[in-house]
Amino acid sequence: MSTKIDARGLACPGPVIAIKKALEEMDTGVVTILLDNKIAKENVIKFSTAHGCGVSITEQGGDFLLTVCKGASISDEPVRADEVATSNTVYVFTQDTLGQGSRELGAVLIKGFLYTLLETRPRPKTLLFMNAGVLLTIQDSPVMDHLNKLAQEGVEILSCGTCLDYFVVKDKLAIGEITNMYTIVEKMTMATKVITL
Amino acid sequence: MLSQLKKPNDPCLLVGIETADDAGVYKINETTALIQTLDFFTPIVDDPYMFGQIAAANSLSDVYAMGGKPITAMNIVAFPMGCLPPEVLRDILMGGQDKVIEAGAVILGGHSIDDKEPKYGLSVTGTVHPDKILTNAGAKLGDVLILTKGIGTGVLSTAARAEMFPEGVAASIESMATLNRRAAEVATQYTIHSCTDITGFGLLGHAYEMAAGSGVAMKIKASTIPLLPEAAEAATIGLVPAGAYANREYLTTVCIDSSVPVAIQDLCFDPQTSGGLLLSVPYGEAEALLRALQQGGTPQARMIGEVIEGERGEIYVY
Amino acid sequence: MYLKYDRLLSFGSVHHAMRAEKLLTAAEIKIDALPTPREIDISCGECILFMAADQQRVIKILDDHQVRWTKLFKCNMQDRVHEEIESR
Repeated sequence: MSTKIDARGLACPGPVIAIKKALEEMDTGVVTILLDNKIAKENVIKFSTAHGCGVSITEQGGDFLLTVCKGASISDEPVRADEVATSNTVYVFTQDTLGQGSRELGAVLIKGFLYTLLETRPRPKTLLFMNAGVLLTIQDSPVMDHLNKLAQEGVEILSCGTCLDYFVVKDKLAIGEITNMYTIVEKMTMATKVITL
Repeated sequence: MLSQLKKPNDPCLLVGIETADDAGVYKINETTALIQTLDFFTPIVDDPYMFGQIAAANSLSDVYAMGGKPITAMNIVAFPMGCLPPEVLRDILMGGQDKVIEAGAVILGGHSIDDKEPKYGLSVTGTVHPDKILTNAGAKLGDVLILTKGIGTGVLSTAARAEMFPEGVAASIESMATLNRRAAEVATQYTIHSCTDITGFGLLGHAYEMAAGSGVAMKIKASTIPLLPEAAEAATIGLVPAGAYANREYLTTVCIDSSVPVAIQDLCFDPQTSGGLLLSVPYGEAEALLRALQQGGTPQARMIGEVIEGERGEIYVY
Repeated sequence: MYLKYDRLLSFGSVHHAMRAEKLLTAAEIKIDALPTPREIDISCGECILFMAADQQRVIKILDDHQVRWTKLFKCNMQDRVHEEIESR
């Protein structure tokens, strides 16, 4: 959903009221708001970031065009940094890239996917890595930074021992625990939602 | 601009415009000096009676900030006759009068003009002993800074216009309508090196005036600054008035540590209406004065910082 | 981590973004590649993050190799606030 607002000429706190209303009226989406002064710009940025929305700003001939993005997990209440809810969702990574057709593109996509997972609320419960997926949890993995951050926030990271063994990288595991088929199947069965990539 | 006017040359003039102080003081005899001040502004709340109360409290505040006692006041009124019902003006004047009575002073009369936009305030005369005048230019190294009211009236007035944070708005109105009388009566029983009231330049603007006027530097601990309820939440979501941004741009000798949340920084520059007193008191008396203030009708009073070594007018917020 | 970077470059196509990633990594400039934030561009895309101090070098390498970038932002990845400074 996308909304366009022209808030030029509005006296303070008109621009903040306008962005508040627009964000309340959508679940997710993008609002573009046109402002004509720096103060309105600063205040709309403050409102947006306090509510977990991203903002990009472009100057247009003395006016400011702000693009504010409200994600799916954002509530109307200001986000508290210490609140990170977890849901019983399990992601299963069966390869070290995302999708078929181009390995090069797949490498870009898996990195992008894990980055975006970082931004998603509620957090997943577990990430399971199987087959070539275990190449993502070993030393020098291109996604190690993202996995580290997820692990810090309490996401469980499990790599299949058989697969690590097959690729002769068991001693290179750099994050999470080694697991076996019993645990893998148990985690998938007990999950509310399983997403396989 | 004021510097372009002729400087008065009168030995009885004890406090004039040179130190940008809260009011003017003129010696009458050995035991009495007259304090003269005036202030008026456009409505900041919808209720006319409360507007009258706040405008009057604001105008009277300068007398308390000089260590004096108000004795008389005159109404300054601008009102759109014919556009707003006369009951509105009546309520404004009643609010003002009730506040002047509360201050123990008397309204002698006033003057009104027709104007599209209502404005109200008072011209106030007070008295003080010439040896006991409090100025904003006497702070000493080692002094403790005490603030007697929470800040955030500018942000909460913006919140009121956005129809948000009703509890904070109500607390702000009550705070703005509160006289600095009790605070001044308690404070003047102790040694006060310097005193000013916090109004349009915000906490840091008036702290700067005190520091510059006294030839000292100050450090202020952000987490100890008393805030009005919901002021921080309102500032966080961008209900920050233009005046706060203007004050921040103007005050170049203020240095704020980046660990201070932006919302608190904005509140430090937030223009106040009828704010509390900022007192600079000797270290040895600060605890006792704070307790006396908190128990004597000024529960929000807090120690917020110290006068330190440094460049004249420098304020460090951490 | 990506939070430390304060410049963001968006591209006309993911091919250019991928070329940029390769060229800049080969030049040993510290960068990161991320999906372009939605507040900058709704289509998927990839953007490159780098430090302000490397700005001149980055732009020169990309221009020398005809890699088409579209917008340069001053970015705060912690707060997700991006201010456009240049566009092509």
